Amino acid sequence: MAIFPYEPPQSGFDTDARHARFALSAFLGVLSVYGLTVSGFDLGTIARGMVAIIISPDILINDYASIAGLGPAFVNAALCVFVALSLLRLSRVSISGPAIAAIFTIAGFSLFGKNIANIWPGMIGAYLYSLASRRPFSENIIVALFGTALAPLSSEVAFGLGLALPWSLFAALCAGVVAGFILSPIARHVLDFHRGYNLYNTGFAAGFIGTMTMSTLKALGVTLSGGFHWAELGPVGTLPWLSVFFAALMIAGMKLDPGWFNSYKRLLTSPGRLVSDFVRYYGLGATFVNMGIMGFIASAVMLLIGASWNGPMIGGLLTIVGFSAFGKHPRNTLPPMLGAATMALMSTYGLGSPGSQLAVLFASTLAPVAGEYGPVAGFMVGMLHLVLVQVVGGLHGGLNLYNNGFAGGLAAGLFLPVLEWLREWRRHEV
Amino acid sequence: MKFDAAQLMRVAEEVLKYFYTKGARSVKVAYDFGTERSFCAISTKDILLTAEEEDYVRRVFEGPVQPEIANYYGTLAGRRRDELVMELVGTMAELEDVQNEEGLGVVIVLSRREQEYRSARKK
Repeated sequence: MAIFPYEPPQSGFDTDARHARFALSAFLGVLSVYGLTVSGFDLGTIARGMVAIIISPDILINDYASIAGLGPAFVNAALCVFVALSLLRLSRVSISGPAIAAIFTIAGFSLFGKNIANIWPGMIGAYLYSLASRRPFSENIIVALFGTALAPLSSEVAFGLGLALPWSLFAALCAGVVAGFILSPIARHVLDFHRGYNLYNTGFAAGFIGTMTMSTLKALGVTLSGGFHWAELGPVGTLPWLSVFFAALMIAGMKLDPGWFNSYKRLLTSPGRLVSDFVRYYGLGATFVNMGIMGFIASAVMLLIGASWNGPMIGGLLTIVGFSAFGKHPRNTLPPMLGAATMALMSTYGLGSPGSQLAVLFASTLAPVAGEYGPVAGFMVGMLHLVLVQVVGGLHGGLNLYNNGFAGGLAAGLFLPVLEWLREWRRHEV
Repeated sequence: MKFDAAQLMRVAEEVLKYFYTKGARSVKVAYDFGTERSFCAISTKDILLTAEEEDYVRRVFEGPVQPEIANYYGTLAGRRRDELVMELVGTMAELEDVQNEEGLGVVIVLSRREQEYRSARKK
């Protein structure tokens, strides 16, 4: 078959994609500089921290700030982002909303579960899926990047099950590759369940794979190792840096697009359902402004709920900022977050527990429900999300880092038929 | 069925749905499946697009095809559901022509290349 390289028409999209790539490189620089600064530029500390990060079983919740310190955690995040950016470059994929979301998600979760060693098997599996499907890897790159959600599976097999070296490493590689391979078709398939109303769709798919794996391990009498690591840190160490970064995003957005205000007003009317690529349809300027604003809002939420400024919570914050290029904005994000916070207060879980605090941030995965069906629906689905997320983690034993994506998919899929029926009934279409 | 053919069918189904929501009740969809490039034309004489609607259609397809999005999220397009996903469709196919004239009605012609998609411009 002849190969015809695709030549897209010249548009503002190409320029935006170049600027976005530059901005992500700058983000990589911020992560690196912060990690090095916090470590006092002590390479020995960073090296020891990296070893501790790599050899720890990474099932939820494994806060790298707790086991290695914030410095090595951020250096690890920078390394993982470098790998992801390089893969996007090699695949010649334009940087737009989904790629930005993937990069920020990888950065965030590289503070508590993903590391420079365990992200590879899943990505190799996704690459093999592309080879087997005889399709370019560029078509599967987004699944490959988000698919690093199952990275703890490799770490667990390598360092948590007590297998002897080098067989443990070989088994870890195989397990990760198989998970990455099957994640690609499953991630596409499960979209149908929630119809794009759960932004962390790969987490939903990974939850099923994690559940399948956990069930098998349980049947074989294998128990997972890995403890609960959660650092208690105040905002003083990180919030100033993050605030400067969010402000810089907003200023860059305003500079890039002098008409950003009108674009942003249009952006705020988007339901945010998959696929809402804000870069493509509202421009990079308005998208950066939205990312900055969402960063400040999520920070304010963290301060309000008294959250610890550790790896998982900063990871959640960065994920929100990333997905603010791909579906989230203040109007559709706040209702589910508020719903989750309210339910936490009403329930026995309380707002002080790590699970509840993470759920409040990650309830924003259900932003499209509020965007499409209104704030009341968003609030209620946020409440449902909180109760589900406290339970579903047990199904996959923490092997799926995107536990909130798993719960979010279930919540959206259960809520949606009722909401749809109500809308049709009100329009007299039933 | 070839993947690219199935994707083009999803795209056509979504445009069909768009026409329906604008009031069209008689819509024709025609395909021409080639080995390296396939085309589809969706036409109706029931409606005319307003200038704003025509601008929207052109804007949806303004950017390049993005295989990384189309391949992953493409299954959301073309389902006979209440919601339109025209923005997704814009990442899945190229706009060849839009005709929007009194008497002729509306004709949208789209195409999709076989396999070798790249969202980035080749240097």
